[in-house]
Amino acid sequence: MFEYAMRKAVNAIPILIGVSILVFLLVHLTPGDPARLLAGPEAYEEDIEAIRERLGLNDPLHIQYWRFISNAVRLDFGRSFRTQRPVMQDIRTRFPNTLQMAMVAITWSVIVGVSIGVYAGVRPNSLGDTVSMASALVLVSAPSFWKGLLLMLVFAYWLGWLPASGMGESFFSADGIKRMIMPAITLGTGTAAVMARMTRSSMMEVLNQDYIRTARAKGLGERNVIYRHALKNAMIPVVTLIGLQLGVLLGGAVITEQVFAWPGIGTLVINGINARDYPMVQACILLIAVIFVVVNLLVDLTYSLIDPRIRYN
Amino acid sequence: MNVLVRLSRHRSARIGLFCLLLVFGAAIFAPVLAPEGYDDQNLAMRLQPPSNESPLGTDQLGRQLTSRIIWGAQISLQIAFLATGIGLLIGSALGLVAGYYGGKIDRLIMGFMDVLLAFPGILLALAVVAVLGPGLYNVMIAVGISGIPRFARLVRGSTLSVREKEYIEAQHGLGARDIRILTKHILPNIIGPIVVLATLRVGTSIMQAAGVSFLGLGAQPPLPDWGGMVSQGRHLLRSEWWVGIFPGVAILITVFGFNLLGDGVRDALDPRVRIAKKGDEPREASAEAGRR
Amino acid sequence: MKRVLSILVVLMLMFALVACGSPDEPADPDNGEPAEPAEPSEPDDDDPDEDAKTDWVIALETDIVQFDPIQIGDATTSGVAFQIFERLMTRAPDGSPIPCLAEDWDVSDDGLEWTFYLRQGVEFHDGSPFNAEVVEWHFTRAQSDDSNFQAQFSAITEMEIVDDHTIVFTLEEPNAAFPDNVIMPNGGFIPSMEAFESMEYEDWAMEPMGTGPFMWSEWVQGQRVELVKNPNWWGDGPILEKVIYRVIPEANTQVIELETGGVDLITRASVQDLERFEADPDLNVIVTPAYRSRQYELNVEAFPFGDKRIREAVNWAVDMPNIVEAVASPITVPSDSLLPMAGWAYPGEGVLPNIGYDPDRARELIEEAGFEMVGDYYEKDGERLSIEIHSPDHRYFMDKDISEVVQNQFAAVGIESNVKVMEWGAFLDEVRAGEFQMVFLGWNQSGADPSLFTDAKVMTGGRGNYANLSDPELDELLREALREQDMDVRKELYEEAQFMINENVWHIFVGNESLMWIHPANVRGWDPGPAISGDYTQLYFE
Repeated sequence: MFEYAMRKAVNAIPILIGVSILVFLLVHLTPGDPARLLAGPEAYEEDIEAIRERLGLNDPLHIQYWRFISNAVRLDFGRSFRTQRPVMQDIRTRFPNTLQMAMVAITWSVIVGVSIGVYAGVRPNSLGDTVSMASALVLVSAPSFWKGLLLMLVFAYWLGWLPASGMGESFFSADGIKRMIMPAITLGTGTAAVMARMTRSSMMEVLNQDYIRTARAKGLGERNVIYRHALKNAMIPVVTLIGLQLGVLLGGAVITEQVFAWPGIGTLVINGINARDYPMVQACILLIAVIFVVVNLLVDLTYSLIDPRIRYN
Repeated sequence: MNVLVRLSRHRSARIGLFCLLLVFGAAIFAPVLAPEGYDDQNLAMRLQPPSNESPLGTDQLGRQLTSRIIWGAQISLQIAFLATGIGLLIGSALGLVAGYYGGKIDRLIMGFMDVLLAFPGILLALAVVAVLGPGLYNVMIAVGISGIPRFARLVRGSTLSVREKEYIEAQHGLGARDIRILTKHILPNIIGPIVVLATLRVGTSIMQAAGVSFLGLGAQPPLPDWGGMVSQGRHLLRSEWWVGIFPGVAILITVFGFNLLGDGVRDALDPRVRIAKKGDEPREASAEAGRR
Repeated sequence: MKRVLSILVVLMLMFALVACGSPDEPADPDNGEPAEPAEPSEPDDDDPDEDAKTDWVIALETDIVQFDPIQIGDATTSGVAFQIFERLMTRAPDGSPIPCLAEDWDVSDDGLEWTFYLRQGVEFHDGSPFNAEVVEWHFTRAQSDDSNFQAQFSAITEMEIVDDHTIVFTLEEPNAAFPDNVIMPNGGFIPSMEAFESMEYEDWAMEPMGTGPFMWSEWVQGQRVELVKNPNWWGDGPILEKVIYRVIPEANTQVIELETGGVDLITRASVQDLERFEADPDLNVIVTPAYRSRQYELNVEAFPFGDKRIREAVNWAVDMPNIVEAVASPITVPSDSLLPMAGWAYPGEGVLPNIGYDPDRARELIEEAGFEMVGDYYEKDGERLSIEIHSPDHRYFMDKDISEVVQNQFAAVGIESNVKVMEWGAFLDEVRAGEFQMVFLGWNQSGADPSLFTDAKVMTGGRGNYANLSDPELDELLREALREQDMDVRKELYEEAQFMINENVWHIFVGNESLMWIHPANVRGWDPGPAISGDYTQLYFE
């Protein structure tokens, strides 16, 4: 088990190196000159050249890459072109904001999604099943930014119940919670719907298994059968999905943050792209990739823990 | 044939087909259906709320949203099929090669696919459009690229599972060339899951392209790109909500249609796939669904 | 089930741990304590009104960047810096230079030597003295490789400290726009030298220490900036205790915050909101055309704009005043000159030669230039009269929308065109390289000196002259106007220059973009204008 984890972790290293090369190439290939954007449209050409020189943008690409990667292994991602501050400093303040939103989103969506899935799964093809599954599918089919705008229109502009955008200064305050509601709903609906669908089909499969029939035949109460026996086994694929969804949510956060002006890492990366702030973009994407890889690893390991049938060799 | 019959009996597939019929109808008959062209401006009629003359209202240049949304179906379907097609073709080819030859080639290709997968799809698409420049076709390419690794993974897995089968071995014995084995014997045997992923992927493609448009790098004006229209409407949301909300409904109907159809196709092709647990296919499909 | 649950929890925890080690609380990065002297100056008893609000809350679209004056390149930071730092001169409401850190100045007859007499007894927020040494240090830094404005500051060839409070700047050549170009942009903000020498650079750049009426207090990244009153400010005021900036990127949210009292000042709102605010007695709306010109620039080196008749034709083909009126009013005001109408060099409406809207005239000119209609569009020798319109999106007010209407009106006279909307960074690259036919551009200046516009935009090789415009006669005239010190003569010269610019038909003028301020009606003592808007020293709530 431990060995397996280690091997997986080692395998992740070339992936991360690949990511670093790809992100480096992508940012450098993107037209747009960081120095020009920094100096502003009204700047003199000489000044732009001086800034390029100062930022090291005139060095050959391989030297720039080496500078980036050799520092990156020491977790030093350099200074932002825009703010001159160490990139990690900004990421440290912004990332918890994204994480906060993602955590709230995944928590509610798992609870709601699994409940609906169980409800639908034990009464397949009933009206309740059909309605809940249809709504789930509608929710996955709508683009998240549109869902966000719709929520904003109804709850912030029409009803005036919730602040339209921005983050509260503390999550543990009325204002903080109010401001969290719409982003978390927007981000989590897709996941909730997927959870519901997955739980339902998993539940249906498990309920058809022999041991459930046996349990029923033994005269165990339906409640007992469902909650003690079926649910436990039905959860196995669902747990896997939670891990995968965490990665998906981080990607989705980029757009949700844009809609609700949430000061998280997604906003950081989009602003970074717009300003051609190479160090910032590189660090953010690398960080997101690391999380992706780690989450996938954890999912694999979790899977082996809860499903003893799987062996690693 | 059997598959098509099953599909036509499948309830959700029918509803899905109906939605898609609407969208395809709009795309094909846009010149007849749409009251105006998609760029018929009328500055005197700016930002009119929905009414009898303008059923869905008008936008900031006085263009009828009804017409723009109808014309937009063409754009959306183009994105859907071309972007998915790019991912499907390149991804499947890479997956076939990786799965069939194995060894170094496999590791190289799949390593690269893992790198692509480590990017959130929307960021990868965004980065690629940033490099290529905005525009309809570049968006398609970008969204297509972010679909490549998903097809590659799926196809590789399926290829691996049929590679060692006896009839393939037999072909080797007969001295058949690799390309022939790949296209004549392996591909037909793994086409099912590919079709399923492709149908599901169409919805994702539309959604991702809309996301890229929303972030400001979509089709060029005055093309009525739904995602771009939502993005435009965002700035008007508070007072002229119809500009941004209605195009979103169009996206919803289209993607909903493809998703229902995808469910149907999956069930029709192989009822067992639906409840399969481990292995690449369902995970791909579920991750696919979650990516929306 | 329990096992599953516990694994779930572990998974989430591990995720949180791996993702980052820091707490969820959005914390101010590595700032220990605000460094300014902790003097919570007790409200004096002679306050006009005990209950009156003493904090002024301003909505910002973007967060601040950094406060090294010689690198400030964004409007947000510049606005905050204006409260903290001061310059040798500042602007009067009409844009003319008035004393600030320099009490007075002389210019030698040849226009080369500028002597500044510095204000005495001024202290930086850290208590260090302001004197000639600091000025010399600052402007030397502004000329160094660390500066983003080397080119401007290289106009100074020599600085000589006469005494502690007198310094002489020697210029390369006479320059009537010297105050506008060198003294008053962001690079002219003078920070504390002592702080620079005693602090780490990155801390220094994030804890600005100037001489201004407000002092740096707190920054919550992505959320809020707080400044407090400088009780030792040399001038009269400030009356406010605090100036607070809140980062609210979304315009609609800014509007709601204003209406619910969360902020006191917003500088952006939709046209519909504006109309509503104007009817609201509790709110005050100020909209003033600013020194921000907007125009399409026609690349004379690109097909088909080498031909002046075509340049004229595209002007006749679009009904710009009506487009602007319909799509961008009241923020953008139609204009007929490259120079801002709010500046002193603009001769007034209708004086300059300009082209109206007449599609028939446009067709005539195109035909004169040898094109003929084939199908829906003009062609010449098999080449379609086709124009790509480069346009940014949401950079200038309604930029993309205006471009779309222009494209539509071009089509109506038989000119094929398409709008190429690009993301700003890539757009600048292409436009700067001259790879365009026609481009929507703006030019923003905080000063009204016409040379800030003409010398950059239409002088041969000017820094904003992307369309490769060149007219030797005009160049000569502009050089003369810059050397001239007499204001009346300058005005005449620039009027002549505007005639020449318009007669060359290098542009399709769009208009001037306004600045806008919306605040509660009980605000007193503040009179914002295009030249100076951030002076809050006399501001109070009634």
